[in-house]
Amino acid sequence: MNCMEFRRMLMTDPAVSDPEFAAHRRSCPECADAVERSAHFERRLREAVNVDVPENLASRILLKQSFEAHPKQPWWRAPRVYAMAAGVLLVVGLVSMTLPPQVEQRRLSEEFVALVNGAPYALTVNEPVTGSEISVALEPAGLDLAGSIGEVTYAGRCLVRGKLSGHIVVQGETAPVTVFLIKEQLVSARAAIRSDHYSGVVIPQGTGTIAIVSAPGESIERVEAQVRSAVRWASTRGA
Amino acid sequence: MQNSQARFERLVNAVSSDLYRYAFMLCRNRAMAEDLVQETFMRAWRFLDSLREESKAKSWLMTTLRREFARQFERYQPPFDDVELEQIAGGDGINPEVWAVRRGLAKLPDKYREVLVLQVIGGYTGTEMAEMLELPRATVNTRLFRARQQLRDILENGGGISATREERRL
Repeated sequence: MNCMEFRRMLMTDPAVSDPEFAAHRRSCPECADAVERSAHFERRLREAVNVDVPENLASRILLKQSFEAHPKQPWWRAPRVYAMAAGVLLVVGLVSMTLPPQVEQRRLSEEFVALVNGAPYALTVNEPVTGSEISVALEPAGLDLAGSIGEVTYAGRCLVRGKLSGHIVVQGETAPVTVFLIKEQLVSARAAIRSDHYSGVVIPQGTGTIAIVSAPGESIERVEAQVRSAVRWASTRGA
Repeated sequence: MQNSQARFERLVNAVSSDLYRYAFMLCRNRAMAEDLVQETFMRAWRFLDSLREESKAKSWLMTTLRREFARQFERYQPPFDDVELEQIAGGDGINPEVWAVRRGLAKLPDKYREVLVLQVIGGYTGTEMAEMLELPRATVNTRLFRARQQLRDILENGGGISATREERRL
C-alpha cells in the first residue's frame, strides 16, 4: 500500500481494520500523523451529528403507536367478532365442499365481499406503499410481486379460508381496487363476484387464486392484467 | 401481541435517538425530523412481524426514513438556518469547533452529507450503505471520500471550493 492509497482509505473509512493499512501506518511517520489529525476531525464530526434529541421522544412515539395498536374499535372490528366470523367461515368452508358449483361460486363471492367490508381501513388510506414494503407484507404469505401493479395504498395479509393470503389495495380510476392473492386454487375457472356494492372476479392463476373486488363501474382489467403478470407464488414461510 | 409490543418498545428505545439525528441531518428542521421519526416507527409497527432480524431493524428504519423524507420533501429545499442550528446546539456551551463542523455539514451537497452522516451515526460499512442506498459500493466510497474532503475544505477555507477543483484533487 502506498501513501495515496492509505490516505484514500483513511478518508473513506477512518475506522478501517485492514492489515495493509496498519502496516503502512507503522512504517510511514507522515501517514501516522495523518491518522492522528483524522482522529481529532472524526471526534468533532461525531459531536457535530450528536444533536440534542427532543425530550420524551420515545414516549411520544409509543403513545402514538398505542393509538394505532388499540384504536377505539367499532363492533365489526372487535377481536371477538373476528373469531366468530372465522368460525362462520370455517363452517361455510366445510359446507361448501359439498355444494354444487353455482352455490359454491356465490359463497366465494360473498366471502370476498365480506373480507373487503371487514377491513374498511384498507380502503381509506391513501398513502402510497413502496415496492419493498409490499414485498415485506406479502413475504409471510409466500407471495411476491415482480413488477408494478399501479399505485398501491395498502399492503397486508388476511385469512382466506384459513390460508394466510395477500391483501392489497390499488388506486383505480374512480375507486380503490382490492386484490386478494391466495396461494391455493379455490376455483377451476374464472368466476364473477357480485353484490349490491361490489363487483369483481375470481381467477385461477397457476397454483393460486387471484380475487379482485371494486365498486361497480370501476374498470379492473388493467389491475387484473398487471397482477396476473406480476404475482409470484414463492415458497411459503410461516404461511 | 405482548411480544410484539415489547419488541417494538425495545426498538424505539434503542434506535429513536439515532433515527432522529439522522432525520435532522437530512431535513435540518426539528419538527420535520420528529414527524419523520414518528412516521417511520408507525410503519415499523405495521410491518413488525416481518422485521424478524433485530440486527437489521435499524438499517430498515434508516432506509424507510430516508425514503419517507424523499417522498414527503421531494421539492423541499431545507434552508440554511443558523437559528435552527443554534437552537439544536444545546445552548451557549457548544464547542466552537463542533459548531463549525455542524455548519460545514449543512453546506455539503445532500448526497455527500447523507453517506457521511449514515456512517458516523449508524456505524455502517461501505457494503451495508451500498445496500441501503441502492448504490454501487465504489460510489459510496467515492462519496465518503469527497464528503470528508469537502468538509475539511469548508472548515479550512470557508467553503469556497469549486466542484472542478475538488474533482482535480481526486
